[in-house]
Amino acid sequence: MTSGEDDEFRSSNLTIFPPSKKQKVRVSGVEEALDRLSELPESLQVQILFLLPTKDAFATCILSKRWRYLSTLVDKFSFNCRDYLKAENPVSFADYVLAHSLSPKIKTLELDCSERYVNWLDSSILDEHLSQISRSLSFVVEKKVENVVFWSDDDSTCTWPESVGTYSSLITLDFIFCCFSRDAILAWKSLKSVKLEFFLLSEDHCVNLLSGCPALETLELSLVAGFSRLEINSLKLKRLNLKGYWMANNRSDHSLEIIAPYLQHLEISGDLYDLKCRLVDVSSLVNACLTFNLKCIKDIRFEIYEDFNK
Amino acid sequence: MAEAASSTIEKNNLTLKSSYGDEFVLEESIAIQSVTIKNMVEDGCSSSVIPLSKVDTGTLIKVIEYMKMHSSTSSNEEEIQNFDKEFVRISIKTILNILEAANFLDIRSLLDLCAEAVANRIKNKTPEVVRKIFNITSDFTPEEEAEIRNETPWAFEGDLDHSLD
Repeated sequence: MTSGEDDEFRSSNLTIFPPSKKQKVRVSGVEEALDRLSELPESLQVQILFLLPTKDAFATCILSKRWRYLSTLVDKFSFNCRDYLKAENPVSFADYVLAHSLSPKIKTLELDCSERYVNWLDSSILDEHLSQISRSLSFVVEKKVENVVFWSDDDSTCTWPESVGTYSSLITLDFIFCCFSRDAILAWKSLKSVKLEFFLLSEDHCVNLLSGCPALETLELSLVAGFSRLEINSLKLKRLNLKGYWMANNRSDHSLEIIAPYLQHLEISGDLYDLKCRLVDVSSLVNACLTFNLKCIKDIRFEIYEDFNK
Repeated sequence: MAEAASSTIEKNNLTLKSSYGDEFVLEESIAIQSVTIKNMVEDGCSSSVIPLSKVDTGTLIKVIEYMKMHSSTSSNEEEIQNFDKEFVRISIKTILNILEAANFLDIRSLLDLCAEAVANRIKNKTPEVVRKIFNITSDFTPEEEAEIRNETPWAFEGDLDHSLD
């Protein structure tokens, strides 16, 4: 507290004597011309960079030498497919930024590959693009990335490097519009939260995922399909969100059994269509929020629907 | 943390003193949104006046305004959101002052709000405009700057904003 008291003493002098006002004005006049942003503690500067889109965060490298250094400490990357295009440049934006990163640890990596087919119908570009994405995903492994968000728009072309499937630094994982390969290894030891959206998930994947991620606390399934049984026996997994059901699969049996004896929070929402969802065992449940829509489709209308699907 | 604080029965007041020596009396339950102040209270250092040697009067008034709004039980989420939006419609200099004060006082939500406001003044702007807004002087030689632009052209292309706000 000594230094505080000293300051207090000094500042109270300022208010007692008339020159204080003048001095204040002078001080703030000096401040006006100061580069306050560059003098903030480094942790605050990195936090500001974290809040910027990757391109803007990286573009600060041209401001001054100080910012050139700071821009290498960015620990959140979000790329879309255009960032992998080389155009006339020797290296793509994404590759360059990743190669120049000095941050020992990456908090978040977001890869948005959802516009792929809109822009690139040329298959050679597509192949090149996929290998680059694959390189980025290998980067996940090297840099101990904690949170990964991955958007795709196709379920067969994006392959995950084998090692990502077992990488232990991941804490949260969001997959949107993709799927795991049939024999994918799904073992993320530290993973606490998984969000799968527009996702075709086989029963084997469910079993593998749940047994391979022993630390999992939250499972969010949004517009998923492909399995009819979900058995959760982990003591840690306390929260399950089921947001809508994806009618994309061709199975005629739209049913889902949920066996989760240790689950505490259950939320079912969105459109379930004609899904017959049975809660077989949810005996530890504390909170349940059920706000889903069901559709009762009569026989004749159902046939029309089937035809429409073909 | 604010909820836990408001549940204490006795309403103690604390006096916060700015670097200019101006004193502000504030309910303890409001002031302990600052983890720094909370720790001082818990360590018994707060019996009289808490000197905040790093926070000037103008900044402290803003910080107190923020803490009062955020501990108010009568305002709903929407009102708080609108308050936050208006709160950062101020000069960048003042935002940086509050950001530093929030860092020193350890008020997480205020720190996040100000950091976001700073980021919004960098987002999608040309480097020239960012330098002007924040008074950043380039210490690159023209040759060095040209080299960076040449090496990383994608960082500086696209539809960039030239406005100063």
